[in-house]
Amino acid sequence: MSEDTTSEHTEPVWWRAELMASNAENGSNSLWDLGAGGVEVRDQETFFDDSPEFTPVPEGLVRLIAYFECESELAAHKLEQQLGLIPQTTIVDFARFDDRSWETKWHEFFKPRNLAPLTIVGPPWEEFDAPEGGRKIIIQPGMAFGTGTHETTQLVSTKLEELLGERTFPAMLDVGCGSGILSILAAQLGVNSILGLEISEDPLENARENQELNALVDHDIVFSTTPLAEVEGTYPLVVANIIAPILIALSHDLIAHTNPGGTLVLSGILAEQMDQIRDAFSPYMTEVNTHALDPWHAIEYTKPEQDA
Amino acid sequence: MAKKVAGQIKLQVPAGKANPAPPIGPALGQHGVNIMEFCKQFNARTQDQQGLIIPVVITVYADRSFDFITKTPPAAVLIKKELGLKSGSGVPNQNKVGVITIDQLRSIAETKLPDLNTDSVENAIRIIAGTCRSMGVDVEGEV
Repeated sequence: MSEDTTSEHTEPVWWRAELMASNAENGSNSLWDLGAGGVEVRDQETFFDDSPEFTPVPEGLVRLIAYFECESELAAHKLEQQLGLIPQTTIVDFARFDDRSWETKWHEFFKPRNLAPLTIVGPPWEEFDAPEGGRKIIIQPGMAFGTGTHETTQLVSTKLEELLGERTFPAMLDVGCGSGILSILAAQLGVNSILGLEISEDPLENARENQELNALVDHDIVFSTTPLAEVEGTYPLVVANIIAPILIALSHDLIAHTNPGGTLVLSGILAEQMDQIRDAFSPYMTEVNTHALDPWHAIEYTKPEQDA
Repeated sequence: MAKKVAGQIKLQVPAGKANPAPPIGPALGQHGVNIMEFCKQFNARTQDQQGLIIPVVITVYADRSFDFITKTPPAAVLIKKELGLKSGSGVPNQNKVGVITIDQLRSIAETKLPDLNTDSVENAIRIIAGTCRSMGVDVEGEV
């Protein structure tokens, strides 16, 4: 028996099951019942250029691929037996899945690109220059959101360039900071003190690595898992690039942490979610403007002075 | 000019809960897709369907940008949710796990209609009834 049955793992151990099924729905349903974390379906419509693993699927059959977390080889063996009982399916392969190449494979396609009109973002292994009169940001792509290729990040970045080009903000709160990309941009644009918040420590390791890559280790940037509600004080500038339902859930705390007269920038909002966002924020804040990169929207609010 | 399509990937993912763990990480990362970007977009679009499994078809372009469309949840998922079942029957002919009414069937059929090969709710009801039987759920009355 291998050592993993007795030793403790900090990383989950995944087992990959590949089945051929004559009834995709029933087959995948059984995989969910057995605790799959998700299911990939390969049929006659799925393909990928030059990918040998996308072998043709015979007509009338589908290939179902599911991954399971198993605490021991014994648990995996029991799971395999249960998989064998799923009607109208045949197990093609069942094996421990230790391949982690996918975690970095997508990095090959991360090239320098415009984050905002005067800001270029790219990975540390690419040679690239800042645009004339602008700046460059280096981001090590990891398992944190925010490489700058997403429209929601570009919307806030463009807004930061605009706001910080016009005015001086001594401090900023970056809620849902991910890779730290917005905090790094704000620091480069002159914000002295920055607090970036995330719900888990994993993305913050990436954020701190990016802080170092951008030569900002001596800058007053703190990346923390402190819950927003427990953060002390208010900020003249608050940015939150998350998704609409979470922005709404955090609305009270986002508003409370914005200085009277301060600015709150929200991003990660789909067009159809704009009304819900306005319902949550507009009674307490003054909408300044909105920007869109289809299908995403960002809103800039200011907090009325009289709420001081 | 239309972007060159490099591939098409199909996944089933819990609404609002996409994360970079398998299967999303391997399925997308291996082909150059920015995993976290997909997770953010998928979660944004499916937050209001929490508790359901959402099939998603992802089109990946040569530059590894991507689009995706979400489908209606699998019928079995909707049936389990409607009846409060944890799982279907392993031996559907012998072990029954529940009974579904025509009204419940109709509600599920109407939800699934956009993704079924029929425009008729009555035909959709018959298709969903078939799924019920295959998971050990008896159908109340005639369909």
